[in-house]
Parts: sequence; structure tokens; C-alpha cells
Amino acid sequence: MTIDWQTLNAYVDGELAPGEAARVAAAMARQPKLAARVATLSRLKAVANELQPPLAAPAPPLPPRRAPTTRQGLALAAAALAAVAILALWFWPASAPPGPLWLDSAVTAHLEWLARTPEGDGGAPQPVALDQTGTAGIPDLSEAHLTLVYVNLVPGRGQGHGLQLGYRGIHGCRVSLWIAEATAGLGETPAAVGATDVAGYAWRVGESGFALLARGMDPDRLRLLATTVARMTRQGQEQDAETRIALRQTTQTGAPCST
Amino acid sequence: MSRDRIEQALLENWTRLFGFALSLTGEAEAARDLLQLGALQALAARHQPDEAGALRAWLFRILRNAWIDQHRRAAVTARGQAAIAPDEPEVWHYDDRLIAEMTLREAVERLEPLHREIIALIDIAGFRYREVAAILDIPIGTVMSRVSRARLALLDAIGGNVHLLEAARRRPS
Repeated sequence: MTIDWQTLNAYVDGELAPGEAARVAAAMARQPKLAARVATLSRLKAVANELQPPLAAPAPPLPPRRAPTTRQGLALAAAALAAVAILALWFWPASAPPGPLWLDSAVTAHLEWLARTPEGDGGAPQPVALDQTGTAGIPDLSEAHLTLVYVNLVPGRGQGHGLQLGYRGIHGCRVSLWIAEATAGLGETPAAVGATDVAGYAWRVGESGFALLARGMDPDRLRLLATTVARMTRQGQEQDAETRIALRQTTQTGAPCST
Repeated sequence: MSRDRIEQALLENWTRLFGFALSLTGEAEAARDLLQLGALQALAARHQPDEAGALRAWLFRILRNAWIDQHRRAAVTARGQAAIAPDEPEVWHYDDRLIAEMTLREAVERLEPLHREIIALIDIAGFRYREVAAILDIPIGTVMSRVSRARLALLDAIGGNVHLLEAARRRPS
């Protein structure tokens, strides 16, 4: 009885029907050379299954998260923060005091993104076709001429975990929306935060913390944008007319982004 | 709650997706960019499979399609046509002791892209043939023949690694 190479591979992969698998097994019992081939293939498959990428992924695998605790329709928090919350259960001591790390991670992530070449984050804004029905959860800032072009799950210990959403404007301005578990000191109203070269606003919605960061953006424009995004994260639903108008106003407030 | 499901699937498969992106691009930076683009497209999709396994396969398919879109389908087709390997081992001379993580990793990197892709999907990511057929948009029969040829090429590549090592040992220092 001849068992071809393709059938042997399918046997090792568990893809044969029971009758055919039995036929291969019976042939193996009679033909040691056939059994040797199956053993080789099995070892090949087993070792391959253990292979990890030789290089670090942009973010490590994250553990399964608990059921989202945010209310239905909460903006991106519903999609992202439950995972961050699980990470908190794993890594964050319950008594961890709030500190500057929360903001540092956000600023660092933003600066690292800025340091990438325009081509590095996809060049021109990617046509990701955001719309209100298809992307409930991710703030759609297209009315502000900002296109989502970058998603970055930032690993780290303690308060360093977070999700970064990167938006690019038509003049090249880049804005990060940082989402992580809220830390003490974050209020519900957007408050100005800043670091060298980077300005922004941070706020909380329930257990979720947000920071909107940019470099070189007109202060008035940044404040209006942050206020509007904060409203969107609180509402977490389809954009209403007031939100759309506010987003459009950001493009007419202050000077264009200088970065 | 579809976005929850997509993001959870992304998180759970992040490393595997990156490995698959690496198998497609062969370059770390390009793989990272491809992964970013695939994640964006997945998060922006209006519709996605309900079943968890199908959702996982869907993510890999998005990644692959993004790669194809970047490099044009014609180039991918040409690449596939170039990957011709024998159907059966001509001489069985493989030593199972040589199949270890290091030799296998090096061998995978030396495979034709088409072979590397299917090894990444079936052996590394653990997909079933029918799932791979859906990801690659090819018949199951083609998956069967492709993976058997890819494994043959992989075994030959592992053997080649050993030959190189032996040659190096024999070389006078």
C-alpha cells in the first residue's frame, strides 16, 4: 500500500477522515520507513508550533480581559480599557500610588510616534473608512480633519500600560489619544497637562483615563479639540450635531499645527 | 460590542499576527507597519465573523490582504508561481535530531515566501486547512499540496543548515 507524501502531511495535521487516518495508521504499523516519516513530520510540526517570532512584536500578547465594566456605548474605553484593567489586576499593586508615570507613558508613546518617519506610520492618512456605524468606539475626528492612522498597544509595568490612537491632520500634525486605566488625580473635566514640547489635556470617564496630546498645536485649538473628544468619550455614541460642529470649529481655531 | 471582540482577538493573537507579518515581509520594520495597518483595518471594519475561530482567521486574512495591497496582487501571483517544489521526497535522509528550534527558525527564514506563509499559518499559527483555504482564498486541495511541498522544502533547508555547519567545522581555522 502506498501512502503519498501529501496524505502523510494531512495525517500529521489531523486533517484526514477517520477511515483514511486508520488506513495510514495501519500502513505505518507495517512499514517502519513510513512511521519514520510521520515521526519526522510530527517533530517538525511540534517544534514549529513552539516558535515565537525572532523579533519583539510591537506589543506583547496581552492576557484575556474580564468582561467590560464600562457602560454600553462608552467610547473606545469599552473596547480598550477592559484589557488594560486586566493588566492592572496582573501587574499593578492595589496600593500603587498615582504618579507621573501615567502621563510619562502617554508622552513617551507620542514622542516615539513623532520620531517615526511619516512613511513609518503609513505615510498619508490611511483610508480606514471610519464612520459612525462601523466604528462605534473609536472617536472619529474626521470632521476636525484628523484621520486615524496609528494604533499602538503600549506595554509596560505599573501605570505604563495603555492604548495609543494616533491621528494625522492634513498638514501633518499628529495627535495622540492615550487610553489607560484612570489614576487618582484625573478629573472628569479635561485638565491641561504638559511636558517638554508636548501639550495636552487629560480626563477620566469612570475607571478610564484619557489624554489628548500634540506638539506644536495652537493652544486654543488643542483645548477645543480636547474638550470635544472628552465629550465624545463620555457620550460614546453617534456624533451629534453639536459634536460635529465643535470638531469643525477646531480647524478654524488658531493657527495650523506647526509640527 | 463587535469592537470588543475584534480588539480582544487582536490582543490574543498579537504575537502570532506579528509572526505572520514577519513571514510575509521578511523585515521587522515592515512587519510592524503591516501589523499596524492590519489592526487599523480590522478595527474599522463594519462586519466581522461571529465565531471565534473564524474571527481569528479573518484577522490573518486582513493582514495578508493588506500585504497584497501594498505589493500588488500581480507580484504575489508571480511569487507563487516561482515556488515550485517536488511533490515527494526523492531520498529520505533526514535526521530528526536536527529539527530543533534554532535550525528550524533559520530554515523557515530561508524558505520561499509562499512556503513560509503556509508554514506560518498551519504549523506556527495552528490553523486548520479549511481556515487557511479561507485566508488564502484557495481550495483546500491546494492547501494540502502546498503545505506538503513547504514541509519538504523546510526539511531540505534544515539539512542544508547542517551541511553548512559541517562545512564550517571542516574548514581550517
